[in-house]
Amino acid sequence: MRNNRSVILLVVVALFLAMACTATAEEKTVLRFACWDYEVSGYDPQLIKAFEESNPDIKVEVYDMPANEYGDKVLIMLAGGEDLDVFYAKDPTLYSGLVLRRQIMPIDELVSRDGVDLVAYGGVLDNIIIDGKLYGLPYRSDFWILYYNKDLFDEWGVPYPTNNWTWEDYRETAKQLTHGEGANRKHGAYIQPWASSYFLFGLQKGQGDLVEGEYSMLKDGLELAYQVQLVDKSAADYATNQSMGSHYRGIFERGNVGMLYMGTWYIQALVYDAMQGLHDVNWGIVRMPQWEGLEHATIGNVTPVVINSKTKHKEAAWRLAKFLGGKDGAEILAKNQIMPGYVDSTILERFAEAPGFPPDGLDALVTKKVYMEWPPHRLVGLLGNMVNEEIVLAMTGNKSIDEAIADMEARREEIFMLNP
Amino acid sequence: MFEPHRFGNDRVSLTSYARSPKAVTAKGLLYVLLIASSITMLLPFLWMISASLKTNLDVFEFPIQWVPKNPQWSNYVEIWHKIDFARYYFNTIKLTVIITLAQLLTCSLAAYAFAKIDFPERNALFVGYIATMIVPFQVLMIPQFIILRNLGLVNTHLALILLQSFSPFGVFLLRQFYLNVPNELLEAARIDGLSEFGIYRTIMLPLSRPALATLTILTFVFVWNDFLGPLIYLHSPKLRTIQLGIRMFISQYSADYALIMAASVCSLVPVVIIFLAAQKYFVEGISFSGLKG
Amino acid sequence: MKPSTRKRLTAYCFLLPNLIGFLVFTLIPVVAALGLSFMRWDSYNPTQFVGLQNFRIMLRDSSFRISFWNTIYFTCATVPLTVIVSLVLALALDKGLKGLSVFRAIHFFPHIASTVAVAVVWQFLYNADMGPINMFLKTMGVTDPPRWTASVTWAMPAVIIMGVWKSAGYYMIMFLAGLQGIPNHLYEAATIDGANGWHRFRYVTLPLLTPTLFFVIIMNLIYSFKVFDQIYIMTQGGPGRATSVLVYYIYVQAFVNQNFGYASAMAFVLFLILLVITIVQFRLQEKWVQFVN
Repeated sequence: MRNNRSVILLVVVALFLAMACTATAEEKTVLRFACWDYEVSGYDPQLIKAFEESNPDIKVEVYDMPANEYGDKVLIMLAGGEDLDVFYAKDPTLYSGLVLRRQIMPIDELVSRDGVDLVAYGGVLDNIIIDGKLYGLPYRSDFWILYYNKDLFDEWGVPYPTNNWTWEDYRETAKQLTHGEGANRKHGAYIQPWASSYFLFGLQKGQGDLVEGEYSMLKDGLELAYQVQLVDKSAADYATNQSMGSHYRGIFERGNVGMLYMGTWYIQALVYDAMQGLHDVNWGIVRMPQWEGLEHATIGNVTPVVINSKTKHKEAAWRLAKFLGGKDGAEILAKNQIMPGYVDSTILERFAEAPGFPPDGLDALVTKKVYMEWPPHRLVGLLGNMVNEEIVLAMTGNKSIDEAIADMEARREEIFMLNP
Repeated sequence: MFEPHRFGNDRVSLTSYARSPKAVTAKGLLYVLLIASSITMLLPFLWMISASLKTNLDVFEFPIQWVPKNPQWSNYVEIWHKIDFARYYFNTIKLTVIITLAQLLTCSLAAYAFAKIDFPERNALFVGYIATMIVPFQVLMIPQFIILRNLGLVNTHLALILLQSFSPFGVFLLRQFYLNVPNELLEAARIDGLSEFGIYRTIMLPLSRPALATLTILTFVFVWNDFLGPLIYLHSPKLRTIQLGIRMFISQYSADYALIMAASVCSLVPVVIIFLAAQKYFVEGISFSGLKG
Repeated sequence: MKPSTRKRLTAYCFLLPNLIGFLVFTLIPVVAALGLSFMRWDSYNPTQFVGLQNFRIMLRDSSFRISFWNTIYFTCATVPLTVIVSLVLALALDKGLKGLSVFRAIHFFPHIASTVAVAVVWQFLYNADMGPINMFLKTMGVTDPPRWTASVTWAMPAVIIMGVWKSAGYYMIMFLAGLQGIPNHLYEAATIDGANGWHRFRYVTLPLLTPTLFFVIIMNLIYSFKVFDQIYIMTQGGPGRATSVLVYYIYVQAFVNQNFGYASAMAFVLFLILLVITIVQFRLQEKWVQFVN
């Protein structure tokens, strides 16, 4: 008897719940939202959950895509007419293309209508304005800093880096931290085999960007990297890193190198891996070193959250974009040690509250001037490939640095000529 | 009723003549070469196993540590929890089995027409089939996507099944094999009053077992390892295949290669089983029919 | 009904299941993609007819030129090497030796192993300072061994060797199937006539294997012209543009530069070249491909 009754009760409750669900589902606006690393990142689900809680009339349907193929997949989906409402523009190539094809809508009117405060985004915003129009709010905004392994500095009695270092200081210290020979050599520094790790020195000079500026700005930086890797041998060289599939995370966390310049995105992984017990590196961070005599500047990239210009739910989509790219989203991102686009003093405090975050590290996160790795421009994709190819040739000794720079100029001219 | 074992006898192969002393040394040399090449062929697989038992930080350690110091057997447990691996496995099996069967059916029928029936458009049509294989997938992706999107099939397994069940490759492979089947055989059957379909079913299919086994393996492997198709057409997590699921371990700034390799090793098991099951057909297919004679 | 009409009808009945799918999911996208060659298209907004402009741009594009010649280089080296290696493997593994099924499975492994594993293992083998290949070369007295993937000159040979190694097992399977199609009585007849092993190969095996050989060569040509993955995992087209191939550049123009018209135009050129080669091969096959019939 008792059993029967509980079964009936259960059925009634289930029916009631099912009805309640269908009832609410009918009222809700469903937004289709694309992003990458949704399941593994941990913070995007928090953002979506918080948004749905504060906006009970909206349901967000998440399209989680592999990070590497995100841009291609978004492109194909939009080309085929699949409706996405809101998504992240992962890189400048994707963003510029979307703007150029009018696939995402300008938000200036919505911004002024709702009185969105743009000051908190700082100068980053200028980097995503095209032809005087803004097409998205910065969701994440990362920039490069210098990570170092305090234990290794202590071991060799070398003073820690400071927030006012020059690249010459970096090179000298890398030498002092390097010991051993052959396979047992412990390097003072590590340079990730990406093009950006090699061209950012040039951009720091503030002589223009890689679309319009003269490539001679890259010379000193390439020389510096060449000296560090192939002359001083205080960092493994490009070819070695490339062929071994080296990754900064494994190398730094195994305590093998003293210094690593890398984006702020790495903070989250460092904190997370330490909590998982994967490493016990006693790390610190300072601002990027800069060239002697220049005002401090670093390099960064920004990820805007954008709205499909064909969305059927413009208002709801705007609410989601405003949430992800605004203060609410920034709070959640900062708690997860992700550098949001929206930054004020409370946001930075959230950042520092993380267990394992170095107490002296907060200053490293205050920026004066951030130059973008790539500005929005229709040819950023082709130019990026070209610059990458020439840098690799110079760093593997297949070409001299001067030759590589001259070829970059010539190839840029060709790219502009062929793509009028 | 016609019997296909009229031609062929116990197969005599090249190596079975190896009896003289010279041949024995040759045989020894062959073994040495085969073992040497097998070792290089096995290296990636050994690396996969070795990497799957390491922590992620140690995977790319150099020089390669072939035997992990502290084997992480837990990686093989973790993959089933971290992603919905069981579901991805099921989806992959479902897609692979359906597409492989569909290809065997449609391709063997079409190949029969191209190889053994004389009709005016035969050559032109066949060249058309081959020509489409030449066009790189990169430029076909969007037109194909638009078609399937208009059929309302995006985000379904049916999209992939329809895309991959009519492979020109399979038609070509089987046609080449059918061409070698003696025409007298078919003529004799026609005289016996067999319909074309009857000939296809009772003569061609049994005789082409080696080729069918080959196509089975190649299609199975292709669909099993396909990444681009599922990437483009499947959006929902519940539809994901193994290859798509494995990519969940690669995020924007890092990748968990230890888990990727553990999952890859697990995903290889059915492929190896299929290979071992099918290979007896592509070495023994015809002599089997000869035994009865 | 006229016999020829009946034949045609029968042929199309056999073709139909494959033909419908082929038309909708392969032929239409192929025609659309080739049509885009004469358009400007950004994947979203309406297409714009531009005549031959895309082809004119190609003539002045250094990246196209380099990728084109790299593709030719890759193909010319890969096709003969792969055909020979896989044929030798198939003959060695056909029948007779003990433990062959294991060897066969092992030689198929590179085709199914994870591409990451393949890349890692080969980067290790090619490592300039500590890799086994250069160690071996040094003991052989080569004082300055090549820097393989880091060198503009040696990167291409490096990916070619890796490519042959990776696909040998794949084509071996096709040859094995082809070997089964050779009727045994022909071998016996040859043996009775006093033919030795080489003669049996030269006058029985090789001629009767020509349909498979033809198939393998055509497929190999197509895959080599369309090579992408194996180069991408080893060198990403580098250093510089040393191993950049056409399909990689087509991908870049389509998805990085979003210039689908230009990408399609390059695909069209690739298509024409391969089509001509294929048609010539088909004409020639009448001279060198023999059938049991």
